[in-house]
Amino acid sequence: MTSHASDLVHKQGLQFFGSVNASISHELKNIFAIISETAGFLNDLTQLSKQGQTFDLCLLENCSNSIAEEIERGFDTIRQMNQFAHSVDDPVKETRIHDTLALAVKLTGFLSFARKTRLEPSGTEITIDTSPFLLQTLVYRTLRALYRAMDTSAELTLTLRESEASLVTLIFSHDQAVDLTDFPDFRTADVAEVLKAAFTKSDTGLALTLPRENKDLRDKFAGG
Amino acid sequence: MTETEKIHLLLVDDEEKFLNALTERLKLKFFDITPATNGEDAIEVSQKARFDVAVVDLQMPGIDGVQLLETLKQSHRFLEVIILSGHATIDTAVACTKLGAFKVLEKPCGFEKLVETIKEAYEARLKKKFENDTQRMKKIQSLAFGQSPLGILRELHKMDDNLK
Repeated sequence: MTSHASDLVHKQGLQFFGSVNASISHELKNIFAIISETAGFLNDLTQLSKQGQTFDLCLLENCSNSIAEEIERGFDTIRQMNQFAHSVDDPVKETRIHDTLALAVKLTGFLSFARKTRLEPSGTEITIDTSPFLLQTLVYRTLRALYRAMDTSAELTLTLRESEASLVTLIFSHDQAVDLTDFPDFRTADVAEVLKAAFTKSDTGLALTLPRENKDLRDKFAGG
Repeated sequence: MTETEKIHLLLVDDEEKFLNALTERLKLKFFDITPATNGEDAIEVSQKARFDVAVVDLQMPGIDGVQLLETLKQSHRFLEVIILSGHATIDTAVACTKLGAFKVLEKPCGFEKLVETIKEAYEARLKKKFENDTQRMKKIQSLAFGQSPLGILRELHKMDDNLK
């Protein structure tokens, strides 16, 4: 079981890293494409002005605002990329689960088939002792599967609950019925098993229950 | 290109700001642009207006670029489709070319390169249309011999049906 956990981090980890990086690079390409075309348009307007042609000055304002917004979007994307890269720093640690969910929502938001998702604020700070990277992988895979199954107009709400003293439950509620017959796939089930996580499906959502402490993981990684 | 010989361009991308900036720039180059932010709108607008060239993003919510390429090529025989995407890989480029894409460009692509590619696609469209019209004329001429007027009309209808 514990060597299986280690294998998962290596095998699935690489694949997951690749997949997330591909979607981040696509997001950055889009940002650069917008900046490039907007800067080009500014140049076109400058040339028109040199030729004595007039145009609405609001166009200049719109262009500069658009460039500033895209630069901010780029910084935000890089911050998320950095946060994601640091999720492998500690194999097992006390993890703020709300932060993991927020990052997973942002990272899956780069997917072209992402759906509108709302993360409900949690009243108290809930932490669990687990592998932050595998938890990120599991939440990401769950969101991705839900987005694929949901209609384009459907919306998802994520809620965090302390179901018992030793358990935490993440609830993924959707406003339309979705077909999750094939979920979890074997890779997702593998990660869930290592994290001792359990899925419960219903017509209106999916619940993911996790232990607050995962002694097997801690023992494995504490030994190096 | 002058204002009187505008190329009718369908531009499809779910990145609205990119779409707007590119639309404004291409308008200055005397293209007649119809922008669409998704595949569904692009199909709808393509049924109402005639386009020479379409520039299509690959990854979009709903109908994606590959599905849109297939639909446009099936319903508009002479329309040339350029794929412009941040997701372009060798595999997708090969797949899109097999489906009839004129060219696959990677985002961000230089504006002048895009303009040149659109013009090349337009030339290809004109050439294809001209060749088709020449073939059609030859067929009409051959039909004129030994056919009744009604027979000629029937054959012309058949030819027009194949053009859809």
